[in-house]
Amino acid sequence: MKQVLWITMLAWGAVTIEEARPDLIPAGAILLPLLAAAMLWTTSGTGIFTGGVILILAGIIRPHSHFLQPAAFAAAAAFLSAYRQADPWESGQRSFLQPPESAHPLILVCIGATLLFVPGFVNNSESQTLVWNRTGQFTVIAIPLTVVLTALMKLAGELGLRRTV
Amino acid sequence: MRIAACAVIVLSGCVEAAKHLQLLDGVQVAIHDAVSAGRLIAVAMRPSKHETSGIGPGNRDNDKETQILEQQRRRLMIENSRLHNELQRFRSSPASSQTYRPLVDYELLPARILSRQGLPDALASLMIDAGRAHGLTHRELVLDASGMLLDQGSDAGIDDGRIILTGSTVVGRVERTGRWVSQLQPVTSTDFSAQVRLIHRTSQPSSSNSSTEGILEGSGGGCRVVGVPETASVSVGDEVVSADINGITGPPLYYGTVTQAEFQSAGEWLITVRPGATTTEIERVVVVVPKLDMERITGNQMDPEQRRQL
Repeated sequence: MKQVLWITMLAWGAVTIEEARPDLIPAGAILLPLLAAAMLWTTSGTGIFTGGVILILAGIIRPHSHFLQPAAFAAAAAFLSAYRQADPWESGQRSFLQPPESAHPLILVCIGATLLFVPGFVNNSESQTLVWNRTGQFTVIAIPLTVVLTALMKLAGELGLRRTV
Repeated sequence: MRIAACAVIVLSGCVEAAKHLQLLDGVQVAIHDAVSAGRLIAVAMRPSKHETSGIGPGNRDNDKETQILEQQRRRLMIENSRLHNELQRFRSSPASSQTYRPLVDYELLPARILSRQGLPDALASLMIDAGRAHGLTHRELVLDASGMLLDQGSDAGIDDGRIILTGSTVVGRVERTGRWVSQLQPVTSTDFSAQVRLIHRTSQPSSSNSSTEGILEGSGGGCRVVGVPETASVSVGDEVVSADINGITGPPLYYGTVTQAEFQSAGEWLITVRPGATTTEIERVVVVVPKLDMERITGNQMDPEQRRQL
C-alpha cells in the first residue's frame, strides 16, 4: 500500500509539472523516468501494476500517446525486474543480451519514449519539425533525469536503504 | 510480476476500447480536475518575467502569447468541467426524461376510391361469397351502397364518421363502414355537416387574422356555411377550415373558400363555399383516425402505483 501511495504521489507531481509547463517539458519527460525507477525499485507486481495504471491514466488525458505504451512499459519492467531478482552477476551467466542493471531504467525510458514519439513520426497529421523538437526536449530532460535516478538507486543500494528481495 | 504486467496489458486494451466508444469523457475531466490543483500551484511558482534574465524581445512576445494561450486553456478547461457538471445534472434530473407526448394523435389510413357509383355487381358477388365463408351479414358487406366506396373498412380500423382527406383538404367523411369497404359521404352531400371556422385574412400583414365559427353543410352541388351571426366579419375569399376533428381539437383541415357572402333576413350570413377538392378528381384518400397514446397511458397507470409503493 505504501508503495502504491508514494508511486502515485510522485506520478501526480510529475504529471502536474508536465502539464504546468508543456512548452518546456514534453509529456512523459519526467513521468517516464520516475515510473521506470519506481517500478525497478519495487521489483514487485504491485509496483508494476501501479505504474502501468498511472501510465494508462496519463494516456487518457494525453491523446497523442500510443495505447500500447503502458502495456509495453509494464511488460518490459516485469521482464527486467525478473532479471534483477535473478542477479546474473552472482551466477556468472550474464551475457550481452542481459544488459547491466544500471541500464534498465534507461531501457524502460527508451521503450516508453519510442511508443510516445514514433506514432508522431508515422502520423502525417503532426508537423515533423514539432515532433523532432519535442523528442529533443524529451531527451534533454528524460535521459539526465534517468541517469540521476539510477545513480540514486545505486547509492541507496550501497547505503543499505533499499530493500532487496 | 507477470500477472501484473498481463493485467496492465488487458486494462490498456479495455481503456483503448472505451476511448473509441467515447466512454472516457467523464474520466478525462476527473483526471484533469485531479491534476488541476497541482498545475495551478506549479504555474504560480513560475518565475516572473522580471526575475528572468537574458530574455530578448522576441522571446518575451512568445512568452506573452504562451501565457495568454495558457490562460485560455485553463478557462476552457473550467468551462468544460462546468458544462460537464451541468450535463450530468440535467441527465439525472427527472425533467430531462419527460418529453411532451400528446394523449391523442391522428393516424392517417390510406385508402383508394374503389367505385364512384356504388358496389359493382361483379365485386358484390365476390364479396357475398367471401362474406358467406366468413359468416358476415349483408349489412357488414355494405352491398347496397350507392355513392363512392373506399377499399378500406373496419378491418383496417375505420369507423363511421371519420374524416376523409386528400392532402390536407377534407373530401368528406365515412358514412357507413363494412368489413372491407366503406362508403364516402362527400362534403357536398346534403346530409353532410361539420363545425368549421372561417379565417378572414386581412390585407395588412401586421394585423392578426380573425376567425368566425359556423356550420358547413352540403348543398348538393357545393357547400354553404350557416350559423354565422351578422356581427361577424366575412368576405369573399375567406378560407374555411375545420374547427375540430370528430369533436377533438386538432390541426385545421381545409374545406374550401368563400365564394359568396350575403346577409339573410334572419340576421345571419348566407355563405357559399367552393369545396377545396371534388371527389371526381381524386383516386387516393386518407382516413383520419384518432388514436390514444397507449404507451403514455400505460406509463401513467404505472407511475401512481410506483409512487404509492415508494
